[in-house]
Amino acid sequence: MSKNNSAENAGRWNSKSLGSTFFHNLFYALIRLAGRRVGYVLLFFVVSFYCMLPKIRKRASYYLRRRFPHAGNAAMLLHTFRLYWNFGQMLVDRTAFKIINDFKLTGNKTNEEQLSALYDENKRLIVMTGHMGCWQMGISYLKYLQGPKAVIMLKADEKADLHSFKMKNSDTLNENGEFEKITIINPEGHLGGTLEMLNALNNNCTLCVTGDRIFGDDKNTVEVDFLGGTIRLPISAYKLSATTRTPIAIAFSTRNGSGTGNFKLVKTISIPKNTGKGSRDKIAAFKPYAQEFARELEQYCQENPYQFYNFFNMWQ
Amino acid sequence: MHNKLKELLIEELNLIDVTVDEIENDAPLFGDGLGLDSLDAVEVVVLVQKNFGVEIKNMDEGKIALQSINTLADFIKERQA
Repeated sequence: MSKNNSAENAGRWNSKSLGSTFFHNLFYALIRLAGRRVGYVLLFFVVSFYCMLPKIRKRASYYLRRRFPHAGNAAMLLHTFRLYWNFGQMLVDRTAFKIINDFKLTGNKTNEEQLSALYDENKRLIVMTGHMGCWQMGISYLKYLQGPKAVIMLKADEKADLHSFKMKNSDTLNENGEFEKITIINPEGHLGGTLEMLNALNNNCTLCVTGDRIFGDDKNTVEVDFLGGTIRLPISAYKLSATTRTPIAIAFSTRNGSGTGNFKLVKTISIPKNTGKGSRDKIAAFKPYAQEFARELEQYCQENPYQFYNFFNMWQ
Repeated sequence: MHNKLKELLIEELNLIDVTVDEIENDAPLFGDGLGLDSLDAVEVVVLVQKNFGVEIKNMDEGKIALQSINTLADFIKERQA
């Protein structure tokens, strides 16, 4: 099967694609020395410079042209700036969270109780999010849930981003006096990491996945409607849900200010056991669920247009 | 064991165009050979656990066990012993 362009594009792109190592190190040093707000000041100049680069503007245009289809060139430049400005602020906040534990994430009691109840059904849970808002800090919000946690993340990002997921809660110190850590599962490992994902669920894990990017080839994906076009989304999480009878909680985290974010349970999906099993088209059986996720994603983009961070052509 | 594994794979994965005799014991299960993929891996792990009481927990065990019918049978026998 030929490699889908969107999968290839997604695999190539990460946050470091938008800035050199020098700038990343500079931000780290500044934030460590002087805090988050100084990082924002430098960020303003960096984002302004990068928005002048055609290649950088193009990366944002795939999404922005669909979110703001009637925008003229001047308006599109402003949208581009605002998108990268928000993205950059999120990265600064993430860095501040990593190195000086400076980020406040809030949720609501009802959502917490709902997630706990979902987990308690079979002592496992799949939390599905996307590359938006403050998604990594959002996963850390799940520290109140019982049991271990695992996140699906590319190996290349693991070393740099592991600290993002440390659950900084004194109640979860282990016998070595360390904070509870999260297992990272590489989706480009053997068989797409599915054995590790299955093992995690069988061991009462909350498994955190992003439903908006394809890793590897596009064989196990379906086409869904999104922002006036069609994109391909992976279905592995839905397959795991059906096979193990694990509920899926769609949850999005939104950055709502300097160093603050909000975690929200958007929807729960319950997939009948053995959906797609024994079916001639086992992949198509999961399309309705991927479309549900895409609908929620689109709603999020309508409400938070500058917090959607897939800087590649998802529609290709 | 080998034939039982083949029968289970055909039934659970709905391999309607394949018979037990057509599955070679040393043919790759994934990619070339039987042509299974990562989604099928989930079903294979579950059927092995359900029918033989053996877990395939991670990539390292999967690489050993899931190469072919032969390696899968050997893995099951070893874990059951």
